[in-house]
Amino acid sequence: MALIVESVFKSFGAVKAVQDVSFDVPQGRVCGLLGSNGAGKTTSMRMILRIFLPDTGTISWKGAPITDAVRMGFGYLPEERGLYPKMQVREQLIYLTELKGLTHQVATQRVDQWIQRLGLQEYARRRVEQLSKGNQQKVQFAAAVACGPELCILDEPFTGLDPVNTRVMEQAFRSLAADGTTVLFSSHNMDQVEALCQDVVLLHRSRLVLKGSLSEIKKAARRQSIQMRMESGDYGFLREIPGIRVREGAAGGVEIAVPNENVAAAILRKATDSGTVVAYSLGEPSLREIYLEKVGGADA
Amino acid sequence: MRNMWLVARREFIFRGKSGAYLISTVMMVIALLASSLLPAILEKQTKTEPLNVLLLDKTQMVAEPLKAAIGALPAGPGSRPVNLSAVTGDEESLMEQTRKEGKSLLIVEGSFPAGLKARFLGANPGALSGSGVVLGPLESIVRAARIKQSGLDPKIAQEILKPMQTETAQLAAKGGTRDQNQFLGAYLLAMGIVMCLYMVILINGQFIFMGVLEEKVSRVMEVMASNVTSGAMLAGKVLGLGALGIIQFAAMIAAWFAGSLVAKNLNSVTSSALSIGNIVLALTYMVLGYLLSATLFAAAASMISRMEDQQTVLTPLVLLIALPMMMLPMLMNNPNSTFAVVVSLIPFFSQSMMVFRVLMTDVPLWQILLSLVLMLASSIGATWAGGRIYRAAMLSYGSRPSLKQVWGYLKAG
Repeated sequence: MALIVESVFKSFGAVKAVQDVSFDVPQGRVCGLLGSNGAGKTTSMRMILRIFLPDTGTISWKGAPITDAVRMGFGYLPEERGLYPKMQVREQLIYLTELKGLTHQVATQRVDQWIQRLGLQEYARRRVEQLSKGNQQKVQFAAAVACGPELCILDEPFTGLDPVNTRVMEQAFRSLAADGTTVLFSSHNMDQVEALCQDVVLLHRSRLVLKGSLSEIKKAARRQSIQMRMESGDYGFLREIPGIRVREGAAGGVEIAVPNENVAAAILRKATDSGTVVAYSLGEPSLREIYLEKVGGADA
Repeated sequence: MRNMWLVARREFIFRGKSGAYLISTVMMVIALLASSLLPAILEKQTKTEPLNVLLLDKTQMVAEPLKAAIGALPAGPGSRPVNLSAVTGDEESLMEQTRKEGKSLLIVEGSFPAGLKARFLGANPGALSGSGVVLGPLESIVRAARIKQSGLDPKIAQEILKPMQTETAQLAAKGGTRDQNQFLGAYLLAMGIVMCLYMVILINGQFIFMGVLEEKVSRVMEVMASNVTSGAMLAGKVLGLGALGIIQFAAMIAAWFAGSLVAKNLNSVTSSALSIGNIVLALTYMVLGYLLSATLFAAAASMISRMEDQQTVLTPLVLLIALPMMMLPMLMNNPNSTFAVVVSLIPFFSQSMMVFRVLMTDVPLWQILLSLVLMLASSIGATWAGGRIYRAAMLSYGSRPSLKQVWGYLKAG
């Protein structure tokens, strides 16, 4: 295992931010850190980066405790975006990359590559404060990855981006993963996590509630998921079936969490009796469904 | 260590090329140059500008001999030319004319020579300062007339009335004396140097404050905290901006020297000896004073997260640094009084008070060493406390801190 978080506790005064959290991330894997607001995601990330030290418990990277020297190999994109507003983009990226232990020459090369990859060439000489929020976020992403980190920690990297910039950032994210970088990132967008992650860690009210590879978690889920669409758009018949959870799906359809295949068959029968079924598929539950099941709808 | 230098380099370059730094440095250089040069220029101007005097001689006995006496005065550098014009008319209209034309009016009345009375009325202070050029010869004329009238032998009378030789000087503790010109020069120099120290410490301390606050407000602090230890971040800032402070100090000292050099050529007053030892001592006090305040400025900024809260934490620090400047006049009369000795040993005050005393008088070595030790100890203490507060508070956001919270930061850091 590359990153191991073991029995970590962290309190701020009377507030228990993280309690007995343990998880690991294998090298070269992309791990999604999920949880509602206040679950302890950001505190966990900050402890991995030694911004805070845990009250108890250990955090190690490749079998050794994380020191200031070790964390030089980590990239970080914080949830609260922050750059020097009056510094030029390129100048700032080189400075932040040099702080990671790279020489000025190497830092300049890496920064220029990422400026090009993220389409920031025309903004390179501008001050950060002159950029749009989306472009500032891309600069922030470049600041996290330009040093070529072994571990990249990204706290809500896609928040606030428009669809075009989201796609650019997703491509950059994938290229990072393809380069073999171990990535730990948090997001509230379950579909995005499902699309980008291999492993998942779920925190709830400062405690760990779920961890493992996404495929195993889905296989182990008690519920299955039906994606269904009726021509009439009327799903009132579902109210007669107990033990299911229904929510809106794509293109006017619904996603139904069912406890077993017998209930799934009963739903299909009721649907065909009620009208024309345009689409029906039974499969593994979505991450969103698993999340809701674990933490409850109120906190989702 | 490498990251500390990178932070220092960024602070040095980024802040050094900022308009605020450049403008403040230029302004301070101009202020120092002006304060060293202006008194001499004004004095020179006063000495060389002709003194235009209207003479209202109500006795009808003075005008001619006075014109002759003034005309006989030796001309040369330092002597002020006088244009004396005898006038008639009433006092009020002559006073009005004097005001309008910026001249001087000499009214001579009474019985000549026994009951003679002279009034010298100037339209400006510069005219009054030159009154001696006219009143001196007048007094000689009157004195000569009185001697003649009394029937005394003029030679004996002149011998009796010959002015006594006097000398006023300040005794130096190490032996020797300083004359009045040296005293004035030392005073101006001490004020100039202390002003330099005050400005450098205050301006660069505020740069640190604004730098930390900007990092908090722009939220770049968390990115920095993931790259650099809080100690290296703080030390880098203090070093980078400290180097800029030393450049400012050097520029101001150079301006002072340049001004003094020019002033010395204009007249003999001002320029006082500023030895290399005194420059090194002033620089040492500047560095210690800066260290003492810089980490506290950083700690103060780290405790707030909104620009509008800055005055709350900034004002007490600025007052602490400005307070000794207000006390300086109290030291002028007796720089070796108990009050002066005590305040010059107090850290935060030493960098102004002790430097002022050293330049004004002879301070015993033990007092200088004691103040330096106290400053050093306080600087270490302030760096320790400021560093702890900075470390604990740098990522906290919210309302203004209470004293209880400051104590909490100090314990947690």
